[in-house]
Amino acid sequence: MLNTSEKHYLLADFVPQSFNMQGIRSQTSFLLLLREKLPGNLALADFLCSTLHISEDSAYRRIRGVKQLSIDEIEKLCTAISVSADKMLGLPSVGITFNGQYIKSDHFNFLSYLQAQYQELAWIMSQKNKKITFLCKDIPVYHYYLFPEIAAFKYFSWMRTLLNFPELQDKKFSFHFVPPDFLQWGQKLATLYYQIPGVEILNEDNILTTLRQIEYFKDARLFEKPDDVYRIYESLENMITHLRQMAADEKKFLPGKDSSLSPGDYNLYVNDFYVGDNTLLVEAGGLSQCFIVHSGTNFIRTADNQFYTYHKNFIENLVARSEQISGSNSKECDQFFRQISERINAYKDNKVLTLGNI
Amino acid sequence: MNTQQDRLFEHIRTRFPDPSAMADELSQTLNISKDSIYRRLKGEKPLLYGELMVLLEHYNLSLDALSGYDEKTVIFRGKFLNEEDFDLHAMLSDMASQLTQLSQLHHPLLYYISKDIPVFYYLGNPAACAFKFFVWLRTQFRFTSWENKPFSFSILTDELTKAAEKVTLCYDAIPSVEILNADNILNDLRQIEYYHRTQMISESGDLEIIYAAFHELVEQMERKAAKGSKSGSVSLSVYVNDFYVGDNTVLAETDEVQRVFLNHAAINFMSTDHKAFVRYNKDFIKNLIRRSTLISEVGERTRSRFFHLIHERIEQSRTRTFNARICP
Repeated sequence: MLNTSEKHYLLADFVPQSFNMQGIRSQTSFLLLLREKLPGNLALADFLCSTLHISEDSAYRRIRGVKQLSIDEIEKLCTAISVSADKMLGLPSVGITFNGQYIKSDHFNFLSYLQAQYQELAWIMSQKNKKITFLCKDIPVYHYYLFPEIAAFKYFSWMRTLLNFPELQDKKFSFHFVPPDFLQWGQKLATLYYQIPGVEILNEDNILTTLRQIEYFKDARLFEKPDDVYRIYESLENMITHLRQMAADEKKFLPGKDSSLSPGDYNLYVNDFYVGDNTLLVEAGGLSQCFIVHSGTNFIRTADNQFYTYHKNFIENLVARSEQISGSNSKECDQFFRQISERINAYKDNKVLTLGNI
Repeated sequence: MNTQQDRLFEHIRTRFPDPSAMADELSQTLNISKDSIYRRLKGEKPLLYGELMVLLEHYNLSLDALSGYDEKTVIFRGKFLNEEDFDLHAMLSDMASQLTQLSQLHHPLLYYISKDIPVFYYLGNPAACAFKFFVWLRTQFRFTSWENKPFSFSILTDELTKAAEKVTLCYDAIPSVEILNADNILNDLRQIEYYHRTQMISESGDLEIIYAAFHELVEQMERKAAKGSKSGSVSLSVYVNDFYVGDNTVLAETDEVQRVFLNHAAINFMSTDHKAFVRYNKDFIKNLIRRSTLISEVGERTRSRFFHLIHERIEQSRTRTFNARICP
């Protein structure tokens, strides 16, 4: 048996390859490095003021080195832009820093989670040179948010089944159980997402995530009105039809709107080899971040350059082996969306063998 | 409120069996009076930037690790798989070594939330193992040394076979909980069909061997699930969740340490011991288990149906592959 002093290091053979110690930085060089990491046009003094809640005068005193930063201030500054404090200070790093919040099982927390996502997208939207790349396990949630019936079902199934909200445990699905403010915030999120240029890497099996969820509710008789399931399938089909249109126009745009007016360029790739894991790469105003999913619907993010670059290269490799179906590639595009529709129809007509119907 | 400065001093305090010695040493290290040290210890005066740097360096401390006590900031350890220094044999040896270390702790238990069939089953089946190695090296990482090479079982050398078997043996020595879904096999089937379409597996005999290997692998999973144990008396609990397909997340639990391994970029893993993160993931897994069906030892009817579904998916893929016309 190993002695207890070793326990912390067990299984810790994974040591980051980079992060060599460059020597501890002075406050001035720490702040200079911080300035390089700031997004877009954000001035260092403004960033210090807003993050530390101090006056402009206090900010400049810290920049000039007249006033020294405290440990809590260093942590706040690094956390605000998701970078490792050790790396910024020139200390040998123990790993890669991620930030995130956990969705807890109450209405308020879920709503604040949606609102935080909105703030995030609003910030991206306000930046120059922005782009979101989505390596999908599921169809990106933003597309669901625009179609109320399937959006309501997704919300309910997350809250009841995946996140275990206590007040929903004895409830069956009904549209009225989904608070209207969730749907409103979802639509706001999608509206922003649609204005940001983006790349999505999909596979025809991405739709299975939602089809399995519907099937689970069918098998467990969790629809208050059994016919509601047809409204949900119809809503899902409408969403797919709209995705098909966006791929054809190479633009993300709201249903019923003119695609040519949207600033959100849309590049859709199909990779029939690999189903992703909902990894997101975000570039905005010179800041690059990678988002990783965990525990169903929770995200953590990092601005670590090595981690981001590794994932960017990984995704570029996948893209090189994928078909671009947005734009002129209409034959492949038709085929891809037909395969998705066939999957929806097969589940709708109970033709797929599952544990519930075998 | 517990500030970062408090946490820093709490951390340093653990290194002093005699608390009064701490103030003396800090006074010498920072070259300030003991009075000034006490004001900092009590939080009345913040540490200056220069003082902080001296303490971090002197005690070899990480500010990121201190932040790890914050619920929202999580530090992950990990190593990226790169062509320059990638060594498949070393990777397998590393996996075996980590599993061995884990098995030597008190009451080890592994939770595996599968996106794919758990990797240990492939490693225990030579033909499936050769296929997965090819997928990783040739396509997922696009290693240049594998560019344009067609599939061949010779990828699996004797040395690699032994190393892979060792990993499986080490995994079999640790009690585990696996949460599966019949669609966990889809990634493999998609990959076989892709290689057939692109003629990277051109020998129909090879295809037959690979499909047979996956059937065999699934039969092996079913046998283990039926027994409810891996090797000897090491327990195996298998749950089927038909609502959710996982992300290949692994949670390792022992009396001494609890750790979450997140899978990213195909077969890279990164891990953390962050308490709040581990607790959240454990609660999530417990919730999944509550909504799953236990098919190990008990539940013969569901178990039989579940593995039949996987065999069905393999056969459907096999039929598609052999019916497909390949245009060179």
